[in-house]
Amino acid sequence: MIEQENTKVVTIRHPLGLHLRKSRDVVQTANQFQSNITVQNLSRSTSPVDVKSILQLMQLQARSGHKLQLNAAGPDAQEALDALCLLFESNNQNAS
Amino acid sequence: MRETFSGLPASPGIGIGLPHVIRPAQISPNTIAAQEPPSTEQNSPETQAEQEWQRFLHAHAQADAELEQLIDTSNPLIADIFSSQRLILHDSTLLEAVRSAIHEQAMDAVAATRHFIAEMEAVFQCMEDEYFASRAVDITDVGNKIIAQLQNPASTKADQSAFGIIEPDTIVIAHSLTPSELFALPRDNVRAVALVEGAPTAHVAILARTLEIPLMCALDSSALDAAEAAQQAIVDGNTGQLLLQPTPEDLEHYSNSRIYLSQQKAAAAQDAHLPALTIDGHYIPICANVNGIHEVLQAFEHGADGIGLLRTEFLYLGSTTPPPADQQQQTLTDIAELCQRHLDQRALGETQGKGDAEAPTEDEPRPLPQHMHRRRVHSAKQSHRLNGSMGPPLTIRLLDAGGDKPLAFMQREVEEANPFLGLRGLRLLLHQPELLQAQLQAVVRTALAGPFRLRLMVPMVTTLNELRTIRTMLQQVIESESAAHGVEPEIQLGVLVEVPALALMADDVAPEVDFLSIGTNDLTQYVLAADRANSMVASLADPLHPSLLQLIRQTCRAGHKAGISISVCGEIASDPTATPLLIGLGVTELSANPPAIPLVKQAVRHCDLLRCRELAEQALHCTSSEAVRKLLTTTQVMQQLYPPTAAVEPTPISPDDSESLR
Repeated sequence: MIEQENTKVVTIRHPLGLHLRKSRDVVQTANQFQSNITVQNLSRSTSPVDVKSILQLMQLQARSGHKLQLNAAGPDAQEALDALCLLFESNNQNAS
Repeated sequence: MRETFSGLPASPGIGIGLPHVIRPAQISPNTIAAQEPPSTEQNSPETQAEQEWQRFLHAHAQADAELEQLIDTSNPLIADIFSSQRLILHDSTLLEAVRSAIHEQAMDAVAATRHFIAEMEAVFQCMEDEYFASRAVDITDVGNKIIAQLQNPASTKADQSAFGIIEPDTIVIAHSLTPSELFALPRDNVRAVALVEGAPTAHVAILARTLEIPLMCALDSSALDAAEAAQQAIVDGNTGQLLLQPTPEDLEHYSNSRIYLSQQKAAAAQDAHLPALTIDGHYIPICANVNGIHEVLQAFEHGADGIGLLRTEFLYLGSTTPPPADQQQQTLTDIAELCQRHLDQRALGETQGKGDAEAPTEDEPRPLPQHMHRRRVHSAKQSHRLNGSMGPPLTIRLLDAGGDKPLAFMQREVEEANPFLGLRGLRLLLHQPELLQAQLQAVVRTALAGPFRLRLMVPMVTTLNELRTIRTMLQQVIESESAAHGVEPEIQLGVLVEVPALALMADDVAPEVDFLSIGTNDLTQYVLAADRANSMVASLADPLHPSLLQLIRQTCRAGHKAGISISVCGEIASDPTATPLLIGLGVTELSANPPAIPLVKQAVRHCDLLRCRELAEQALHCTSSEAVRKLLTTTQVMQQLYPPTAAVEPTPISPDDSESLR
């Protein structure tokens, strides 16, 4: 398998930001991929944290409108980023 | 021997069953020593660390099973919280930190877990964003679950947690319970709960009401010993009684009572769409507090006579820029149309069912015109004020945001140390006039679009000057907007009385507004200086405290003098047992949560204005909220709406008092 490394910037759309339930969905999605995935909150200039850890994810304090930079390295980096971007940017108040 | 204990009613209903006593501190740290002998000294540090790690993993797995059980047995909303906690439990950061503390710093499993929680708490509590900072609670909760398992490995079955086996038909009697402990109890088996500690306003009581578990609190602690010896117990959550070793007559009485209660509920639902008139014919509109268009529908399904409080914050959520006036107006017009349609149909006596989708039914004798006739006879002044409609069709509250309720697009200039005493409600709007301007435009355009009769409610007003400023601004917007229309919209301007200063100035405020609405939730917090979200002081924040009753009466008197309506839109308006008191204090309308409307209406129907006033007088002479709550158990509403309590000794109030209320 080819090792890839990809980066993408997303904007949080959910009115509550990256709240607990939303973070949970992100972690569960991230854990379906083998790649190492980190994320940093550009709007707060945080350092990168592990997307697969809810405790680290919540330390981003990401609110609606914040820009996050995702970085994935591994065999399924692109797929992981695509799935996560969709989730980060979704604004479904019932599902997440 | 038959014994009764009086406390405070906290969640309505009656439970009959086997008493099960839960003692405080069943999980004692000492039990580890007994069950888990400390590792022997000849073990190498590595072996010892590995043993501790295994012990941690074992406790971790048990905590996981416990959470899984909670998720399976909870409603979706609460299950969500637990499933997030489960993710924290499995977080790689947590596992790695604990493993390293055990292996590299030679801590035992409990110390390692505590160390990690303390570290995480420190990180989260320092966060500037309050939402994320407050998630420290979830981390603590998860850590405590692991520690509880480490210290008490005997409790292997998650559903029994630390409380022993809860048999079917159990009455749980405990010193105190946290909301998650109440939640962890097997719901199908628990018939009722009685607590020594706790208050009707505590979180555990709110949860009990949501789960429909009868609950009484403020029980004498001697009841724990007595209950241990008893074979059978009855909790009356309506009057706040615990009955041990009931006689066969008691049992028959309370079984009948239980049936009576469910019949009352069904009857209330059936009459929900009829107006609520007191015995002596006064019409009390029961309106709804809502958050958006879906809740407006729900409100009318539950028989609301109008919308007493439309919170407009939902218009702002989800946008990163302030929504323009036109966008707000579209949503508000949709809501206003919906309200108008429902209330028009109701006024014509056409809707017997659940909404506009249903065709009018012909088989009912149409009792509505008769009621409305009675209303005209007995309460001409009110019906005149209502202008032929069933109630105020729609009351729109201006944006009520602030440090405690932040909005995405609002950059806070300074971090407020005290958001509840800071820039919130009208203060924020006056500080950001473009926000206020857009919302006033949206409201005025909505009123013109129908045309609809609207009420505009201003939150967090403190001074008369603020009120005059907003009135001037509204007038300016009305003039500029109606120039094109050629007509002036019908908008009533009123204030949400929630700052004590405004209630104290009610005599000066009332002549300058078209209506008053008392926001008892915030008013209570401000008067009693207690945050109801803080469990350490929540029991102080009781809206039935006599000090609040004084302020409500003062506000009502000012409103009556000015000839305007006075509504209550706090939590207390949803409590049918408080209805006679509020009416007696002079409140002319109530605005409740939609599901509470049928029973509140039913409560009104058992009220007699003169008796309610006597009740209010007595309550004003009480010296504590407990005394007021006791007094409320003696009202006509309690006698009629809730089953008779003849089998139990009456609550200790003076015979004269109880006589006048019957």
